[in-house]
Amino acid sequence: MADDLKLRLDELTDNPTARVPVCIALDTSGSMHGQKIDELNAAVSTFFRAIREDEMASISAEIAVVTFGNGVTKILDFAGIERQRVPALTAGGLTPMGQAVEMSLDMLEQAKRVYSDLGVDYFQPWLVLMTDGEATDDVTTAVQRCKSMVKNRKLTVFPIAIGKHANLSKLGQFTPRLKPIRIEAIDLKKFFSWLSKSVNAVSLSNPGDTQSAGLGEAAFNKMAVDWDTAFKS
Amino acid sequence: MEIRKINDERHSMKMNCPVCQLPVSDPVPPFCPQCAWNFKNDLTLNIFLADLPKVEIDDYDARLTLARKNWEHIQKLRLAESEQVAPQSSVTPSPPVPGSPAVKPLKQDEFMNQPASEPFQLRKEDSNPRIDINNLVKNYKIFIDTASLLEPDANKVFIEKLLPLLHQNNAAVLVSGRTIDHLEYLKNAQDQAVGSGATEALKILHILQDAKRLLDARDPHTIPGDPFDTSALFTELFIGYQTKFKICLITQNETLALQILKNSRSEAFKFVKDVKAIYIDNGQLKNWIPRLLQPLQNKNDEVIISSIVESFKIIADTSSILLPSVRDGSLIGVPFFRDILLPGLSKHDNDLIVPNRVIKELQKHILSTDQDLIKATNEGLSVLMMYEKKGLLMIGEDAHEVEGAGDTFADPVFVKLAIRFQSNHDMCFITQDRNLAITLIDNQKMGTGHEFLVTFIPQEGQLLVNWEAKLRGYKPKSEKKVSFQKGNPSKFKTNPQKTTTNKQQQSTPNRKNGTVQHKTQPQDSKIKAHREKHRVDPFKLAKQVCGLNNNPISIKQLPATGGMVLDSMKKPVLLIEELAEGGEGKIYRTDTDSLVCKIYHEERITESRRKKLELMVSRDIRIPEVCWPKDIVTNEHGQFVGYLMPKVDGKILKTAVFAKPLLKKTFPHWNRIQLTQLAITILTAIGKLHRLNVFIGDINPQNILVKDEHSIAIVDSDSFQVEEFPCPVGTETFTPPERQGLNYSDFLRSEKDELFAVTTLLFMILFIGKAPYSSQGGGEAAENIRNRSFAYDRETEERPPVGAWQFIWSQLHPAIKSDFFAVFSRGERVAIKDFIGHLNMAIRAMKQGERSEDMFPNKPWQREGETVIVKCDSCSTDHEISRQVHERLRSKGRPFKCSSCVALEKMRRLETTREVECSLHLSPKCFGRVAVPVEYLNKLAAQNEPYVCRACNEQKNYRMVQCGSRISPKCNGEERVSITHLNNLKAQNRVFWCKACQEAERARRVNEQRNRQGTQRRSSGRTNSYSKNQKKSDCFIATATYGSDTMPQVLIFRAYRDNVLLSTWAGIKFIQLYGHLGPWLADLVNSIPILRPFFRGLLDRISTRIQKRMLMDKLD
Repeated sequence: MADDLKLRLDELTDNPTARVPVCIALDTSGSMHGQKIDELNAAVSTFFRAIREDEMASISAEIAVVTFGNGVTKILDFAGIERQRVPALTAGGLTPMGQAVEMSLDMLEQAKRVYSDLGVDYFQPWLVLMTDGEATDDVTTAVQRCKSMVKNRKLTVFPIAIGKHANLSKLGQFTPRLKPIRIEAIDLKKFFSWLSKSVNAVSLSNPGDTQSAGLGEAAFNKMAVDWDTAFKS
Repeated sequence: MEIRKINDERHSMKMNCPVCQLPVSDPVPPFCPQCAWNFKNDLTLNIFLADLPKVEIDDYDARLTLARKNWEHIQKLRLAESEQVAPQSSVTPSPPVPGSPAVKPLKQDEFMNQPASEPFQLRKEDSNPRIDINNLVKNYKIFIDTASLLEPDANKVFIEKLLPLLHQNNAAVLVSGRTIDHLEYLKNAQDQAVGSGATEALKILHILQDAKRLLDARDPHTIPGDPFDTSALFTELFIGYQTKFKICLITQNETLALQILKNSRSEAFKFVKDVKAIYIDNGQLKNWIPRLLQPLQNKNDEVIISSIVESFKIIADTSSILLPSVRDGSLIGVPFFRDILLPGLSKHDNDLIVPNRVIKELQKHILSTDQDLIKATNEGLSVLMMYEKKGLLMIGEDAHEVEGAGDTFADPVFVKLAIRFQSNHDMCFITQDRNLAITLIDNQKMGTGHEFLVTFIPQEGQLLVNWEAKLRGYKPKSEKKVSFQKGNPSKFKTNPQKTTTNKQQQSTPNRKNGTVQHKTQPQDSKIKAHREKHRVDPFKLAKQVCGLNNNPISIKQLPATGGMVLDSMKKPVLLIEELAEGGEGKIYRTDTDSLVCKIYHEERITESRRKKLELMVSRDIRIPEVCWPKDIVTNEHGQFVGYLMPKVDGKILKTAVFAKPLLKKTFPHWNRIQLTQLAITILTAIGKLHRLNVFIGDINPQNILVKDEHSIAIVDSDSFQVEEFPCPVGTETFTPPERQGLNYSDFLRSEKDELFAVTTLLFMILFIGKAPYSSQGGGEAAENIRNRSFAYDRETEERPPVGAWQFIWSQLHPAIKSDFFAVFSRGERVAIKDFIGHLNMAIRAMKQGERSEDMFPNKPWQREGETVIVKCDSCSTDHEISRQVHERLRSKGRPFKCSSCVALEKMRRLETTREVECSLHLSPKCFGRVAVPVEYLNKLAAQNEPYVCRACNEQKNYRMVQCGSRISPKCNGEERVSITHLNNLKAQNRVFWCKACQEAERARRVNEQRNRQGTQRRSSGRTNSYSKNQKKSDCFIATATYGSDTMPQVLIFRAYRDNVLLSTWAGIKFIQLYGHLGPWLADLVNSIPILRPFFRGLLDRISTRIQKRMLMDKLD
């Protein structure tokens, strides 16, 4: 335990690079069972590999993973990407999305607090929310929190709907700035590859840049627009 | 007394040597030319009569006396000598009276102005350049200098040739301690060649030591200055030793050799046994004297070929090989190489070096359409074949470029060769290109001990002329004036920092005009002279941003991979491969290896961009550290699509240096000295751009490529700010507070803006990527900059970020710290040349051990002797802290904790707590957001209770209740009581009493009991307490009003109560009532002091009344 703490402290103080905290909230409810969860697993490990391979992103991106399905589980907390091992995800259970989003937001708050207290520069965090169905719990508080943070430019939310059963409008409630996009399970890899490129791009910019704050959003919008041509091809 | 006099006299125009009375004028030489009295150290170096013990060295008088005695001795000897020479003198001269020399003393000028061609007195044996090593080993004390040990064939000389002779004659060689220190230092140099050279040298020394043939020459007394400098040491040492034994010094340093030879043969130093100076050349030991006397050039600055063909590295450029005559087009270069140079080189088996680049260029010219060019190239190639046949051609394979494919631009190749080899070899460059010549001369290092010539073939052919002459205005007889440069020659600001760094180096003998000079001043002015003729125009300084025409020009066809573009000469350029893509365009490799081409995205091609690039391309700016556009390219329809620029390589500063793990991977051998040197290199490059009135604008660690601490490249030059074209991008971290939030294309950056970015970049280099305004608890970057709260400034409340940063700050040189304060705290600006000066000071301080060299220091800078060693309270390791800090901690009773433990505790606190918002906000003193331990939060969550802050909790569960008794003087009136307790009391029908009153009551009861039992012991302490209790327990109001309970009025009230009231039912009731009202009234009095006099008057009257009553009663 104490070693972990020291490791984390050293990570944050030896490396002055501005951090990009990204929290990914994944739906692992029963409906994801089968091919979907396999694709998701493959895509997530590709994502981590892509970040690790980029020199700049590997020292600035900090990824956390939360799953909702059979309760809400903190799969990975924020840490240096070299230390993280992505476990295999299994599907099952209901879809407590509200709780998961709240936990994600709490984790992001804590990460920002640690960065700020130690004097580490950081970019405004990203929340990637992926689901293939509707939430089974109450999402109102989560939605409210997200909305206010996004409006104040303290958070960027990427809402992704997997498959045709996901409710786009409900997903879209989480952020007033971006429209959710619908992707098929087989294209999950492509999405995560795009995500890693976007993280790389942000890590190369400088914190507080008015350009970089909108970088993720602009790219996301572009991706949504080009979805038919760029992604599916 | 005498010392002071000497010091004063030293500052006056004329003074006399205290020993021999020779008049000496300004500037005072280091030694008296006549008697060798050392003015600087007040020491005599003529050791005839005795070696002074060190204790006496400190005693000036003793030294002076000894020097005088020595001087008299010299006089005597001289006289004796002159007698021998002229024995016919009949008169026996009496021994000279001390102080009045019989021999005419030399005048100082005579000594100083020796004819240049004869720097010192020559002897017969000097004409023989050969060295008899056997004789040397037998009869001479041999000293070895650092540079000789670093020669490539040092091993051959010292181990194979010298060592056996040393064994035979049971002799040893001497090496100075400074040499060893210097080699140890160089062993760890980042430059592999240097490091391995030093290791080899140390190996040689080890072998000699093991064979017991090496002696360590320790400094007899400390000689100030550079701790690695052996010249001063040897000079002084030899002056002392040369009268005792024969000395031979093996050194590559021409200045040192000259100095010691001069010293050994001057009139001042008498009865010197022989001193020889030798150098290593090609595995041979050679005598310095012939080389010192042999000029390299004649009066017309024409290089004497025979003096360079033997040992110089001669490097030729295409322009010289193909040089045509301007009159008739016949070739001039080829005959020179064929008829003059080749024989000379073959005689000494020395190679001609031709960079690979040149060969490739020649091969390309064969394919051109110009017939003359083809012919010239053929001839050039055939000449080179002749060299090849004789085995005298060396093709420079750019072997020092470890990574990267392909050649780089021609000029950097030459410059790199120059930088690489000039420290160890004599070099001669042959080029007709004026700019290349100037670049090479600019990169000449001073004090290498080796020759560095940059020459060209004049129109009359058959010889080489030194470029420096031409740059000074030399016009050969038949040369027509050829214009080299577009644009007009204009005034060019001199480069002050170059001259200062030159002055800091040792003086070097300069082989111009065939003379040997010592002073650096003539050298500096020559550089100034040819720099002023540098033909690149600085740009104009515009006042306003140009009206940007951002409408894209519609392009008929955008070239891509495999496509073709045309340069401004309509020459085709093939785009071979896409190297990179950015937001603005794509970069392609071209069929010219040294050039890459940037083609803009279609929507980015605008009229303004075209104009800007045309402006930039109009100046042929060749700064090796800047990737400047070379030429515009158009598509086949003649439309502007992009530009050509030199190919550069290197690692991006941001990803190579700006994080500890990355830096360790890229440059594992670096310490702060190389880091500081990198900063100097980058700043110098930016300074060069500023002098041309070009501002980078977006100074960004992603736009700077680094190869090592001396070679960098600044890319993305098309976004530089030039004349009225702004730099349209920027980075918040590098933007000064007054420009935050503005649109970058709307304003022209001033030097003030640029310097802020430069300072930020410098900070981030020294702090390995940390931004200057980061702090603990800081906000976003822009906010911090606007608040201008610089965390390293002790005056601010901000604390520096956690980590080594504070120590890095502490270890910085004070000049740099003060610069950072000026810029980041006070909003001032510091000029680049000042930064460079301070950075150089910092490097020197680190080399001398005054400041830490650690990349990541783990403690602040402390003065020697002002530290104590303490153990950390948490981890028990020893740490060195300053005495002040130790005292402060002790006085506050706080234990010392090392920074890592403190940081770890902070981390623990951060990780084991979470910030939550109080869910109640009941109390006005609500805490709002609090850091709460996670365990507690989990407990609350399990019970489904939200978090409530302590203030609100108290508000909710506790109430302020009045004490029902007020007996105790410590009663506070109100107390915080939990509601549950109040409920209990209510159920028992009890009144709430505060704790203090409860205790008081208990004490009173115990007292009464003891009274009744009669076991009361009247000790003063107890009596006091009882009586105090008695007194204090009754009149609240009186106490409050009068402020004390011993006033007579109080006593009266008490007496009345005890004797009268307690005996009647009404009285008791009154007392009870009073118990309720009294405290309230007392509080009233306490809180409204104005009432006090009123109450006092009231109580006075009542007490008087009572008094009367009681008296009357008594009387009854």
